[in-house]
Amino acid sequence: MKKKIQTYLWLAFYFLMVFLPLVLLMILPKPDGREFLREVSVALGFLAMALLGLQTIPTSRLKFFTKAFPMDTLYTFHHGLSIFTFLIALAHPILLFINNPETLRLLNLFTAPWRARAAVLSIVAMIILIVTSVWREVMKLKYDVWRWIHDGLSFLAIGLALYHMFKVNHYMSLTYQRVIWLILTGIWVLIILYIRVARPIIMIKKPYTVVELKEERGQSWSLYLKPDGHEGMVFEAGQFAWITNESPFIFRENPFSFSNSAESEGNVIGFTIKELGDFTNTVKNFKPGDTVYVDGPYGTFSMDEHRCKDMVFIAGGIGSAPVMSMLRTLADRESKQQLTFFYGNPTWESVIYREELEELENKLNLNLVHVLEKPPEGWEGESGFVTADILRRHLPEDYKESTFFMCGPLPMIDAVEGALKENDVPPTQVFSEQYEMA
Amino acid sequence: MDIQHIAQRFFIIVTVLLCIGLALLFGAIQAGLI
Repeated sequence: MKKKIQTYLWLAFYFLMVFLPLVLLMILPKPDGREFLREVSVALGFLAMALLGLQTIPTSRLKFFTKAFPMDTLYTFHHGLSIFTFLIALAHPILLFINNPETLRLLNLFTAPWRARAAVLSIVAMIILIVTSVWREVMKLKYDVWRWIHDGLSFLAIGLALYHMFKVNHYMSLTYQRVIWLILTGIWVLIILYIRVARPIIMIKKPYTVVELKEERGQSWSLYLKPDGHEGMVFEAGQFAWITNESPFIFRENPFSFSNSAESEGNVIGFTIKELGDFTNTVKNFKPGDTVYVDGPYGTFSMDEHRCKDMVFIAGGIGSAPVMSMLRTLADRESKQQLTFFYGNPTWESVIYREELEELENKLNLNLVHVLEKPPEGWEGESGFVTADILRRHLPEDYKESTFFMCGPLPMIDAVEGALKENDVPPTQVFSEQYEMA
Repeated sequence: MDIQHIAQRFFIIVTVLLCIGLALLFGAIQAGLI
């Protein structure tokens, strides 16, 4: 109930931040109106400004915010809304040009007033921002380099757009509009200061030490950390944290799911990391005693968050890490719940946690279903991908009352969601965590 | 698609529709059309 209220309060705050300036302009005294297209353009400009500043929030990792919404949906929300923001920011001058072609002269940066130059440069910054974000992999931009570009261009686009808005000074000549926009700007600046200054300081003040590095199957490594000089963190199985072994001020941290039990003694936290390039390839070089900085826990992909009778887990490859955390936690809690785990992997040799899962089958009421893309000769289990038929063959009789947890790359999640739908699993009982958030 | 992702998509659509609707409404009010 508390979480529901928190969610509704956030939604109210969100709508207030986006629409309040324009709604007040509609109902309070204002200068005389002008042509229709010109006024629609102005409204779109105000909305684009509000949405642009608001984009600092979804990816800010503010704890009270991430508790209310799943992190991967916040990133998808940020991506979708950023593109819409750009489109209405672009529509703002286009409508002005259609309304009065004379205004096209404002595009000449040599002769245009500074307010127009700022607007043009803000749009250019947004275009570069979107191109480098959508085609980052095609452009072969390293994640940390892209992040600096992304943040720099974002600040530039917001700053220039604000300058433009205040300088145009038509509706902004109204005191209440100036006050609202100054308050909104203050909120955005506070969030940026939290991300850029406060959070790195918190991470540095609470370092972790590597206690163990264990090689797993499938080119993966389990990294175990203990808090150094502090109490550590309490996480729920299924959640994740951002980790880095460099200064948190460099902003090169990467998100990983906890893979150990939430009931682990000594506040030890563990992650299983697959070698996929950049940072993940360096994990094997970590040594006991090394310092690591951790920011977390985050995420609502947790069996403690949702009411669970029996549980069905579906994961592919390294997507098994949060599922393993849940199974280890359930084993520590001596759970008697009926559990089914559909575990997809390319080959039998690459099945991460293979031996430990066999042990867990004895400790828990667990039905483990391996699904292999390239099964070995003589394999009698399931092969291919997790399909509706495979699900049907192994789901418990009363599966419609179970809670489903899925974790893996987006194409797998999409395919399995279709398979669950075919089996009439209610969407309200399905929870998923997509990788590839940024 | 699970319920959280359905809600997120719905939320984006609501924002887009409200933005377009309010911009048109503001334009109409200021231009004296309504």
